[in-house]
Amino acid sequence: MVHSVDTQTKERVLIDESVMPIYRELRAEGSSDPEEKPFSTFKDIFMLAACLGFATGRDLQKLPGNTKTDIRETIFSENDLVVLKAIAISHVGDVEVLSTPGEILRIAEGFAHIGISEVKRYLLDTSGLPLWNLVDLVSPATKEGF
Amino acid sequence: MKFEKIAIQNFRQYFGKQEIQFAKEPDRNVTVIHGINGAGKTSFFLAMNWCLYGRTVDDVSIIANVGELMSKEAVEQAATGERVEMTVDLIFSHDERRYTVRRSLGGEKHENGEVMLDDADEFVMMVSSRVDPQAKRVANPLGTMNSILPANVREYFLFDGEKIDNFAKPEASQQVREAIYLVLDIEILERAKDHLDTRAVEYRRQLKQISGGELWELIEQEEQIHKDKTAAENRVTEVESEINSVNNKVAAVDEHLRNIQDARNLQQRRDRLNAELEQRRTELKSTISRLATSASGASAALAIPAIERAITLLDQKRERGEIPSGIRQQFVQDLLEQLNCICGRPFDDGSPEHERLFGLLKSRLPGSIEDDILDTHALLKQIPASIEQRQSALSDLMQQRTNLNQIIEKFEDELDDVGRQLAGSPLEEIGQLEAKRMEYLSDRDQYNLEMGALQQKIDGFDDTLAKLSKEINRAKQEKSAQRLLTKKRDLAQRSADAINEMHQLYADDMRKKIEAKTKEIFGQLIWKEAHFKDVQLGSDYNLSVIDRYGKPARPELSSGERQVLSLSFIAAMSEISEGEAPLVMDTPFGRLSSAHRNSITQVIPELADQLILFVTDEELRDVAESNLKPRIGAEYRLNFEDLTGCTQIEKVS
Repeated sequence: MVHSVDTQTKERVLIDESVMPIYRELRAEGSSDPEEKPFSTFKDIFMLAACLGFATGRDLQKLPGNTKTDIRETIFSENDLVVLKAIAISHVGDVEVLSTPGEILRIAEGFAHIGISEVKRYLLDTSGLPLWNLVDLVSPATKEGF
Repeated sequence: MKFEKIAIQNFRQYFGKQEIQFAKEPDRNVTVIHGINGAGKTSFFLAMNWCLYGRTVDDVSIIANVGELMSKEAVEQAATGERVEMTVDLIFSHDERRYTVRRSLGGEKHENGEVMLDDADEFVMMVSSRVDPQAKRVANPLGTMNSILPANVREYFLFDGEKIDNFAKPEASQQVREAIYLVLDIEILERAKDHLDTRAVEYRRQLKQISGGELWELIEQEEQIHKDKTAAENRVTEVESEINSVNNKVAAVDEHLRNIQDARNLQQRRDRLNAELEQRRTELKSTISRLATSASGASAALAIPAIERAITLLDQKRERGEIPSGIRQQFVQDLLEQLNCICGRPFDDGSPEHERLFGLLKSRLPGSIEDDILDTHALLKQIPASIEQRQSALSDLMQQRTNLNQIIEKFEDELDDVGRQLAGSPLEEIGQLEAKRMEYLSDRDQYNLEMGALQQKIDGFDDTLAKLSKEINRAKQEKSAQRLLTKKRDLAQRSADAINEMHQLYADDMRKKIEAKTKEIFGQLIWKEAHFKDVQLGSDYNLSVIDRYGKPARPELSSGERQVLSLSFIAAMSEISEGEAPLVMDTPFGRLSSAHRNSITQVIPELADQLILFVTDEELRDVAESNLKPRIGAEYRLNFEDLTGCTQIEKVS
């Protein structure tokens, strides 16, 4: 079983209020069209943002001070947490980062903050509906060229 | 509410005083009042309504277009200057109380033979209870009557059987909604919401008056947007109704085409294509939804470089022996304590073997982290394969979507072809019908377009309102009156919104319960039970029957079947409302075939606490009569005497 990170002080990831409109624009509400709002949770958008943020290779940024929305660590699945751990190990260059679960989430937050503008660029600012842009993004051909 | 007795005096053709006792025992709860056409059934029915509510109450017309109510014979027999009076007394029980009500109206007979009636009738109500059997006058009889059975709810319990099919007519959705709202008291929630909305508007107005500058302007903007939003929402309701109406018209044209021999084959082909299209569209919708679920959880595909690098780092650690592959810390410690290698060979303290084991122990991370590293390593190794699987599933779904789109396009082309063939038919009637149909479809497109624009507008209003609300809060001045009004306004608006939400949930719940009950009762009453598969009461409050082909059968329902559907709906409302209410029906079976009459008479005594039927002999005979017989607790016959023009009530023994 994966060691739970909630034994540490940080039990949630924060999202800056300034980028919340992007999250809201992509999350399904009621009977909204999945082609326009393909995500059912903020958590999945956060995961995409974190992965894209890391992939940009840009330096990790500290989150602005006015963060408001948060996602509890318990919302993440075992696989999500393993991916976030991989990002943290890869970023720090040492597996010992696993001994500080709060740091894993802090790194994820930083990359998600960088990555959310990429999410907007790929899914919302590119022609076509967000769902099909997302399918292109996670399909093998795009991933290799990314 | 349960009726016990009625006494009618000088009311229409009921000259003098006549009375009947109603059946009210649970196992014999049916009162049957026989009468041929013109014998006085409707007058009797009117007498009950007039007694309880008068001619009108709160703008609800109870009795209209029925001419004079005073008995002509009573007027004829009165001497000039003599006072003539008509009265109807009703005794009923409700909520463990016994009520006696009397409505009377009179006047003096003039020399010209006319009676100059009093300005208003007199309504008296007395009440007694088990605790206090002495009857006392009720101070507010109209209000009390309205709380027992509101005038606007009355028509769902005391109704004219010949008009009962109204609920099952295609254009009756508004009436069905109104009935549910009234009978189940949902209207109260709606009124509460309207009241709170009005209060919020009033507080906003007051706030505007005592505010100034920026806040004043913001509040004005907010008010204007609220108005614009309400106007847009009202238009949405209108457009929904227009779309509904257009759909009904298209269905009527389709039905017409089905009945024309030269168009039948093409129309049937269109029906089949439409059914296929609907199915494929549902499949496409589900495929897109699955695609969204799959793609939105596939972001790990973008983290492959990070995953590969993490695996490499973990492998390097393992190769360096810094992460023992599953060997527990305790086990290494045991080897050190026993000075014995795992192969059984002893080693000395300070030997290279001892140093190596000791080094491993020192370099090891705490036990729980070690577990985490091992598990993370194992899970990371699995992720590339799981990404591949997900990508392969995505690819399959995309292929499925392409196939479905192609099939849908093919069906749409075929439908266009059917339309073209019908439009170009050499038979003028068919061509005209198809042209009309295309016109309706074009109207529907326009309405749908307008609906989209309205929804967009409403979303925009919501966004602006949310922003304005923030700005208003920011600009709020510190004056205590303003603060108080702002709080009141917010509270009223929030309460209105909360009640609105609750009201919608409750109304929806009630609608679903009534739908299920109507379906159950309709199944018991209809003789073509196998043909009609379902009864639906949609969110648009359209009451529809679904046939064995899964299609709405309402356009083809006979008037008798419509009557059965309406009756099922009324009985369902009565049952769901859980109130004790009688069903009083004037000529209920007139338009029904014997099969329906037979099944209804078998079931209906169970559907109401008390049943009062005004029937002709033709309506109630043979099997229907014998079905009701064991449940009849009182039976009367109305005998019209041709010589006097009056009706005498005779008890049937």
